Amino acid sequence: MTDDVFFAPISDINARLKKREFSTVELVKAFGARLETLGPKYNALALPLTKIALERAKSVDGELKRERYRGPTQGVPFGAKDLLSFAGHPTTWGAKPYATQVFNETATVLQKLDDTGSLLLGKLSMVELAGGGGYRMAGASLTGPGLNPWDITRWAGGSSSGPASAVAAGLVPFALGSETSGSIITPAAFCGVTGLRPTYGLVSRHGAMPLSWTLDKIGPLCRTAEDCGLVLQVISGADSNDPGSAGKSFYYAPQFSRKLTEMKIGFAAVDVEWADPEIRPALDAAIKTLRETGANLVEVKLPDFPWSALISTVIGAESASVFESLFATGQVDELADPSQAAHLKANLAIPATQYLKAMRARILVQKAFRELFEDVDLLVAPARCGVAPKISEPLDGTASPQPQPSAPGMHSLIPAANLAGLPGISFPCGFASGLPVGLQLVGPAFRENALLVVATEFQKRTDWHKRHPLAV
Amino acid sequence: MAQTIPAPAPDPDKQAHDDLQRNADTLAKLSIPMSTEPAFQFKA
Repeated sequence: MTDDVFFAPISDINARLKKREFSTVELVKAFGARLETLGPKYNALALPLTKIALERAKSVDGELKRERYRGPTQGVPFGAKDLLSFAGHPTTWGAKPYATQVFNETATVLQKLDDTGSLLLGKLSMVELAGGGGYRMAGASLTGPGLNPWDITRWAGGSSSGPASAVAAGLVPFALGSETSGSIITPAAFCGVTGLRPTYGLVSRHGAMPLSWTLDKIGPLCRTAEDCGLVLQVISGADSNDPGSAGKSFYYAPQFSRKLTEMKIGFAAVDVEWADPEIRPALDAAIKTLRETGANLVEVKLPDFPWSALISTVIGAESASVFESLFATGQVDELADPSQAAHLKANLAIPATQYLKAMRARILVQKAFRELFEDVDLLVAPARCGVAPKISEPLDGTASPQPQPSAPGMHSLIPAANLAGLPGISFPCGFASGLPVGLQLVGPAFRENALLVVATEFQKRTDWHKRHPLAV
Repeated sequence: MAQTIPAPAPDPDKQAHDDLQRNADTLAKLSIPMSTEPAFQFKA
């Protein structure tokens, strides 16, 4: 087995397994050794599970030998954010108060991947409690700051820090993360991987840490958009154990999506004013590439709502209820980031009327997005306004002056799309100062295939997603 | 590798309460039609 396998896409690994170029056992051994050696160097590994994966790999090899094929991820190892329960093993939620927590049930998404022959190689680190309180430091995690494989003085992003850095560093072929507002899109952008936030309700959250019941989503972080489609097909579907389940499945079928030449993609020219000057050339080039696909880019305006106040109110009120016992025991003060603990406690004072007002506003938000998507198929915007920040800097924007652009543009697309439950994808579109720059697409609910088609076409025309960092 | 970490905010509790108040003030200005129900459904 050659080292290129560590950065190969899922379809390639699966094909090579079927051709018996290597066995699943050999593959798990190789990735397991790499994850256990390099994972701690990026603070990416929460719990190694190589031994269990090796046992499972033997039976997968038997199935492959009998040509009993279970799906596109069969035989492919993966990692999972440590907010997904794996029966009988610690699930820490990245937080000291839950460091010894063990569940006796396995999360639906992990069970689905196991059923189709994928192998859980390890639990990956995360920002404590998925950052629900609003954290100020990259070090807001039981495992320390998530380090960026492109530059370990930089942050991997949050809250799915481990999944993004492990995929970027070639420690796992893909990983599962979660997003309440930005926790897949942000680390995917900072680490230079492709991350998909599914439509709310498309993927079961049963067995996942709740942070905000009406916002939480589970999604894949992968090397390519195509890989995201393959994983989403496996993990999506109705689940009576998840009250938020939409009762829908996803079939990765890019061939049936509308042609790019028939697509209209909305963008805001003012977004470039929000972006750090160093990433503007990459963003300009990315928009040029999108135009070259034949898609029609048209200027649009994001609906006008107080996005930050709305999402903070919803997350704050729901998380205050979720973590009520943490306040009662006083263990909230064991969190690594005092700012996060303070915000979680303060959220107890959010009035019911304010929460309900935010939830009523979400109906208007959804209506506004439906109207917007009558004119365009998708929206495109920078995934983040800059490259990964230094871990020595506070994350609350006090380290550098904020720009004052002439209009909001799509600056608030992450909270806006999350409030509306819309799917999004972040993929690498260039580099600045040696660090990845990400572009995000957002589409109507349950139109993941359209997002994947555009991102895949972009990746056919560029090689940003094929670049990978040197191991530390 | 030794890492420098940012100093905690001077008064995280005050910052949290200020943030909460700012959100409350912002949403107080938001007008919503009386007929708009919240974005969740109770199912009997």
